Amino acid sequence: MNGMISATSTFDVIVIGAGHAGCEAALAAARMGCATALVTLDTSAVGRLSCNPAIGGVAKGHLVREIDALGGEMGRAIDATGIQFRLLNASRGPAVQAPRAQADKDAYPRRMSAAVAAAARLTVLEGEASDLIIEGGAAHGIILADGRRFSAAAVIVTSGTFLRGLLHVGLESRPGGRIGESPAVGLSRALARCGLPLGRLKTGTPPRVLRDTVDLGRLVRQRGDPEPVPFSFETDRIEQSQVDCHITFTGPRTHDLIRANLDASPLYSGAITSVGPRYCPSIEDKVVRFADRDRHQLFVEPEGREHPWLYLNGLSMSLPEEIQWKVVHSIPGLEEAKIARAGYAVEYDFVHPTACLHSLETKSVRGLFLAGQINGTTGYEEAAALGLMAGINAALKIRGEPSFIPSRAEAYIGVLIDDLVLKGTNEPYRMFTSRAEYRLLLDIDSADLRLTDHGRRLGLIESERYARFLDRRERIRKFREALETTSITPRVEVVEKARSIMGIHIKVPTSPAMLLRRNDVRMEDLERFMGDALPNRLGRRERASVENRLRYGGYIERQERDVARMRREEARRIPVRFDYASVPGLSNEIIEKLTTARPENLAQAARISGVTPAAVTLINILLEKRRRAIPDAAPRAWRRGATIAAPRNTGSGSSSWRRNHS
Amino acid sequence: MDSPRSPSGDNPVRDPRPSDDSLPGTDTIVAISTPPGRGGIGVVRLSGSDAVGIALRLFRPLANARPLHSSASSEPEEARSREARVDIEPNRLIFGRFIAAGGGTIDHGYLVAFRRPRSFTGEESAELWAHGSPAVLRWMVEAAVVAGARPATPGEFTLRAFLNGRIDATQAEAIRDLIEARTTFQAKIAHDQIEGRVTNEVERLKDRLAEIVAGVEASIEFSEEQDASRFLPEGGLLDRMGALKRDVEKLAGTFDRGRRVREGSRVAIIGLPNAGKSSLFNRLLEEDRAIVTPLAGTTRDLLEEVLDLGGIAATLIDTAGLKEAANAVDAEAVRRAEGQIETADHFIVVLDWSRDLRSGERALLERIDPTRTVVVLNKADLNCGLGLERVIYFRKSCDALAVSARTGEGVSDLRTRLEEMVTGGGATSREELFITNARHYDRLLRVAEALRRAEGGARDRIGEEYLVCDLKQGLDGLGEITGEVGVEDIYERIFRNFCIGK
Repeated sequence: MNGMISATSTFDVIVIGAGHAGCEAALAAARMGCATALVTLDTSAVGRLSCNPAIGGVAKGHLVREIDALGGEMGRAIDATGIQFRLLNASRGPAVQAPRAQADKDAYPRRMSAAVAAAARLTVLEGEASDLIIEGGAAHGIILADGRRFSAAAVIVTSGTFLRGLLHVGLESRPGGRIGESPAVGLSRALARCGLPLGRLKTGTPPRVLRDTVDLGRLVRQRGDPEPVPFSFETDRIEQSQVDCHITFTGPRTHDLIRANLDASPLYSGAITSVGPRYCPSIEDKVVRFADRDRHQLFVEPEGREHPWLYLNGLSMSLPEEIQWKVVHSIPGLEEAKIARAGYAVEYDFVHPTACLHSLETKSVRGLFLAGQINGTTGYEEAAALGLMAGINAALKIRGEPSFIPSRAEAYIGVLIDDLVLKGTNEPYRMFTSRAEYRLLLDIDSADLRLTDHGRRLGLIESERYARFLDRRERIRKFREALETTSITPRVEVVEKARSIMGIHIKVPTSPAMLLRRNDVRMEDLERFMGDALPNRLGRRERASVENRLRYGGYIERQERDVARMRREEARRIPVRFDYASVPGLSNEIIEKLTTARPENLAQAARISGVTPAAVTLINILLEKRRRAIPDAAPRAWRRGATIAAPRNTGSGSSSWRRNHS
Repeated sequence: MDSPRSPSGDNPVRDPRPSDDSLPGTDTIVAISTPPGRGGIGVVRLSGSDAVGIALRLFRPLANARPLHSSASSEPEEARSREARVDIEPNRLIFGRFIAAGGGTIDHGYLVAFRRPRSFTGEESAELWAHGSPAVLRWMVEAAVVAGARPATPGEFTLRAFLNGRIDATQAEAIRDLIEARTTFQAKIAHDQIEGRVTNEVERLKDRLAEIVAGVEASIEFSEEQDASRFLPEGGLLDRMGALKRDVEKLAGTFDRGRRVREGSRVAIIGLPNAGKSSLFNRLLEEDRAIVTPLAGTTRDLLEEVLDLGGIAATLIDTAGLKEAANAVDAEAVRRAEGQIETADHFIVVLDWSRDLRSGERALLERIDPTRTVVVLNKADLNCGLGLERVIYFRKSCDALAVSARTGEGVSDLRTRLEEMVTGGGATSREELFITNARHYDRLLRVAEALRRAEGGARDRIGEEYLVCDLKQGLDGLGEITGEVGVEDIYERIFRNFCIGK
């Protein structure tokens, strides 16, 4: 790949792949003012839901809220096209509640396509991106399989399962990204040529059956919530009618069939060696690993309001098709079912995410960003979050502005990226709320309070929406203030009213906030008691959120203190070319880990596995020593918010470049 | 019913002064800052945002030094809140007394408070100056830990001083050496049999706690799953947390014993002249003639011998005897004997059964700490001159023993009592498990506290996401002893134990 750039067209940003990561990346870059191209193998597959027909869930729903708070598309799209909505963990506190929705597999991609088509500065190109144009350690564009060349200052690769994708059904395997779609082989080679460390992962999908052939009447029905909680802060309410899901179970006969045919499963025959997600095991795995269970639960989910298929959630498998028929027929309600598409497993390449910076730009090639399953993740929501961040940071890079990297205390998106680039992953990474140390601060209701200011600053939140956000924030602030400052004096009639409405005895002057901190006073009773004395312009969830903050204030404050501690360590920045070998007392293993990971600050260094607290202290001491030895330049150069600047020849003769804080 | 806020709140003691948040959440560390051994003065140093507040929980200024509050209240909460309003003048020695949890005086000494940034570390700091007894100094460190401080790691004061710009870079080398030394030391003691067994025990506790956390986390992350009913078995959670908490407390409780075994104990025989101290000294040693090791260098008026008390090396000290205060010539001898009162870990107060109580004895009894003392009524073979009422009183109030050093009557009872006191109950055996490391002790206390909060929370039926905050704090505490439990480990347990995956 040398200098002959004869592009027929020039963009600021080119996004390869139009799945969940690609769409968010392209939309964000375009909305931030970049001339953007979205390259896809098939323009009819934009935003396709290739696996389960659902979006959200615990931690994943959190991610969608954050994507939305930053002006991303996923939340609005699912609100508009969802066919069943449920709030998970509704009986628990707001921090772990999250929305989940069944998506309409036809309507959702249509909605996403329309958003892409409507976006200014965004061009969709059909074709296979087969090569990258790399020069002087920087990405300059792409070459399509048909020979067309496009140049760009930044290239974002969101290849999903397509990189050298290999599909398995039974013992047969054939190249492909999804059933019926060809893989991307050239691109994988191009990434390997850039020196990016490739790994291999596996995922699977269950058979789809024809709805008309299933006896749903015999199955347990699962309905949506009567008052659906939307994903987007922009959605006031979900208006569309909802459809039902159903629950059925495998039985001993199913398990016998699977056990008898394990040698025909690529998972057990040795054909597939790559790692799949533990939390999304195939039915083969479940039967083998939990041999004592006589049944496994399956969710029968509609693929759309009108779609003729049903998705058998929980029955992911890659047995030969004729065995899949028998397996399906062994399940109550599915005795007569016709398989519309057999389940299969897919193996694909990913790039070890430690090769990326927090901005998702690769460490070895400037201007090359990776987002989605290529980072080693699984799930639409994770992909969309990474795509959004890659799009934002590509645009910022082009503007010459510092990267936007939410902290772990600010967003699940921050946790996601920090985990991936610092620790790497060897199995498809899925978000869990327990991955966030500060889970209590990252509830779905506060996503906009945490992120929408950033979205506005980045240019992703239009004025009208921002005004609505400011109004909401102000209403919450006023309400909280009123709770704290309104005084309740124990006059006879007040005491009596408190007793009759809230069932408590007020002896001393107090405030509504103080009352809520007791665990025997409920917000709704308090509001009845207070009447007009409290501002009442908040919604039900907003009030519940405020109530919770007060009631569990001790726990929340504890996490806030932990955050403050982490921020102190974050403020200790480590220079890019810090020589860990020069720190006396560090083991070779630790030196190697730190040198590879290149943490930007002490907090990141401490999170790298194997780096001991003593090692962190030693580095801290050396940093402080250097800071004093170099009086002027160094402290300024190490300040937070440092930017990506021009490449610097590392002198090693390689094309690698490093981040330079200037 | 407890409000859910109370179990969640951290240490109730807060620095009374308005907090400046430029150094948020600096935890308070404590350590003995004078060299080990018995010096004339010992200093315990505290540094961190709550240093002065914690110091004030073990120290009461005396009224004539600087009025703090009028009548001493036995209710600590109340006393604390009252003190909270008193401004302790920085950089000044304030005389007062160190008080035990029950309100008794441990020692007299000084408090100096330093305001940041004008302190050694650049943080809020306090120093407590006491007499140099290792027992008193250790007690002060432990009391500070109970009040919310954390034992400092080696070099941590210097490290903080360095990071806050209070000392120059060359001194940082010293810290590095300390950290390296600690690593080598830890590597060495890891092979130690006792440490190894403690580590195994902590690993077992950690494993149990990690299993609980895995169940709770699974219930949060996978509420939709078929296995959801298996995550938190009905009633099982409370039982498991309660049992675990008790076992953590039990292990923490072995610390005192472990320390005694390691360090031995100094037992001073004190009393007025002619009470029979030396005969008692000889009698106690006689019983142990076979294992007595005479110590060289015990000149002057002090005689020291080591004897085995329930597996603990106890140094028995025969003091000269406290003279009547009237005699000015003997002031020096009295001063030396009193030095023993300040530095010994335990005491045998010898009273004379055959004669009336002397005023010096009365004064002595008022000064000593009854929990560290055996009162002996010597010369029980003679006629009782003490008076029946007094004997009954002494037996009741301090379980005094009637002994005759001359005939040996009651000496084996005395030995048993001494063993109980020195070992903290029960003799030690090689199989017994105890912790010897103050840092481990501190972590275990915190773990037990976190588990207690979690238990309270579970009883109040707070959400699992809050419960797990306390459980994880416990897990982190155990992890600081034997290695961190990462979130991946929790997932590993979840996917091993439960069938998950739609």
